[in-house]
Amino acid sequence: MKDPPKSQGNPPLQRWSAQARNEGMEDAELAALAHAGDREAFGELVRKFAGQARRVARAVLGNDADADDAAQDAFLAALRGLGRYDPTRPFGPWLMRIVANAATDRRRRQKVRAAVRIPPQTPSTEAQPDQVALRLEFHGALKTALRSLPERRRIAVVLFDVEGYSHQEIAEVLNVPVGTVRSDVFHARRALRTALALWKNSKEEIV
Amino acid sequence: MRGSPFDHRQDRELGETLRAVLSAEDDFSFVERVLARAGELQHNVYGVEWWEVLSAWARPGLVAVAVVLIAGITIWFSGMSGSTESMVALGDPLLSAGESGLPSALFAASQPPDLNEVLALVMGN
Repeated sequence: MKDPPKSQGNPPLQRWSAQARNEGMEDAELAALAHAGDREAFGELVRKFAGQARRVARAVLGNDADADDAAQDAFLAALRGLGRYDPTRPFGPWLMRIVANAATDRRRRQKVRAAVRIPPQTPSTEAQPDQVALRLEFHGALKTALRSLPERRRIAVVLFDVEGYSHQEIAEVLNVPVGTVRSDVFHARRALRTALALWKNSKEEIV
Repeated sequence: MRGSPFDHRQDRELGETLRAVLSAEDDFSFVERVLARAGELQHNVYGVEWWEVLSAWARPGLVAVAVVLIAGITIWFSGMSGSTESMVALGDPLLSAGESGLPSALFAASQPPDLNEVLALVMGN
């Protein structure tokens, strides 16, 4: 079993950890303390997994505000359900499963409302001297490419390539066989790389 | 399986790009928001302190004590008045007997009345 998932994308979060005693504590210990009513322990878990949860929710939901609402719902659901968490297993996949479910539920509810389809974006033929604008356009294109993927593939590729979960852990999150996860990651990558290839010439300017 | 396209490792470049696209700003506000909501939830579930429990019970407790006191006093008073009535009831036959002509000396005397006097009164002298 690999280490609990990484929170590489949130360096400022390290500063926020007010409770030194919680630093370095295993997620399972924090979860046990949180279940017993320790608010600081729960806070530490939220700080640790906030970035991941928000990214996974964003991978499912197009709207950032909805994604944050879904991520918050997931944390609160996790708090209520800490008694069902098996401390012998890694906490991250357990939480990410709740996040994915919360985001999926919210997206299903959104489907009722008519969504405006965003057309696929390709590099503009017009001159874009502004690097920021170019970056925004690139991000928009990648988001569109991500959104064009089936939901399960989106979650799989984000959990694998962004968050560093193993195939086995993602299989637990998505409740599918490991082989399905491998296939999902493969196909998602292929689609995303195709979208990225269109930006290959502009990439150096963007990054 | 080493050559399988499904046996892949993490693609750092794609991962970093996706991270940049999906990462939200201001995680601090998000964390604060979640913790505030969780605080409310925890307060409802198990975050209540002992003095909060006591204060929550204080008002209904006082009401309950007042009700018990009023009920007790009422029962006590009704018990007192009930015993008075029963004493009166026991004395009634004697009173009625007195009113029917028996001399009060029969009731007031410290010694038991003479049998002949009682018989004479009952049989109409």
